[in-house]
Amino acid sequence: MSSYEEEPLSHPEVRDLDVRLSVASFVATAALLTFSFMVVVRDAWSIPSLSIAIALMAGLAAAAQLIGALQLTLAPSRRWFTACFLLCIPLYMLTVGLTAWMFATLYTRTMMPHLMP
Amino acid sequence: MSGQEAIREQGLWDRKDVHHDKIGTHTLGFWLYMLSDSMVYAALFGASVVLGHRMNAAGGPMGATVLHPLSAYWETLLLLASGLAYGLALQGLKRGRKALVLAWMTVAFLLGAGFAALSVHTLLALIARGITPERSGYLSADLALIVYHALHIGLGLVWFLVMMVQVAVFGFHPNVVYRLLNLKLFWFFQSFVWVLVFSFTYLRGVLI
Repeated sequence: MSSYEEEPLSHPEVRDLDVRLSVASFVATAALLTFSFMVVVRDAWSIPSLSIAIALMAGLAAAAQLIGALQLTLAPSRRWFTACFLLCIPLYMLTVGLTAWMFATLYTRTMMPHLMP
Repeated sequence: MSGQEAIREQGLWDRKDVHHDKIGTHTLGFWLYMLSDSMVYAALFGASVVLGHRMNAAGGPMGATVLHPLSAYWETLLLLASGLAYGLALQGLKRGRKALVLAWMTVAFLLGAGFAALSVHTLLALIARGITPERSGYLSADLALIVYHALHIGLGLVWFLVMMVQVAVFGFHPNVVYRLLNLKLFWFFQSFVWVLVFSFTYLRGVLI
């Protein structure tokens, strides 16, 4: 029996819990998504500019969640979690990107081109 | 052991067999399961990207009439606040204070339940207007993503109740501790996914 089974609260994953990161993650994510929401409902910019702003804010907010809330850092108790997630990113890109790429010209080739934007 | 050896000892590239403790093994295993679940999310996002086109609406409603960013914004704040409350509960775990853990878990549960209630209300309002998944490919893709996430939230809420009972009955037993850490991974991962759903389904969706 390891010492962690006798004293589970001394386990590195418990000791490394950091409430400051949780608070920072909450504040950053809420602020970034509030900004996105405001620019969309106020129809402040053109659609391409809004799309870029939404994607940028989403990326930053997602990073805040990954680092602050899920604590995917390089700390010894967290680095394997971080490595597993980073290795999944190419899979996400392939899943979403390849699907989008395969269908990118499908509409113009097989359906009604006059309906394309 | 030299300083360089000590660094190598802790590195990902360590070649020696290392001891796997029960808590660490369970949390890493569960994280791998969560990442396989995330591939389902990726597939649903892929379908959403492909079908997010007015030709796939089949003459039916598109994002601007179906999606309500204000309602989704309140859902966002509720889910993020629930995550923060659970973060504070875990701080209680770190300090070994059972009452603090239970109090903040109750807050996290109630905020999560608020998110679930708003989601169900929104979906029922859409159904009442005849806006259902079978209406078009566009609605199938978007609603599948939203409902899949809502199902995770429902499961998470049940898990919260189970863990509150376990903390109250068994205290900080190693089995309870690793389950609390797994619930953290699960709950915060749903917040992470919701950031993407809110941004790309709701906010980007109303622009289509």
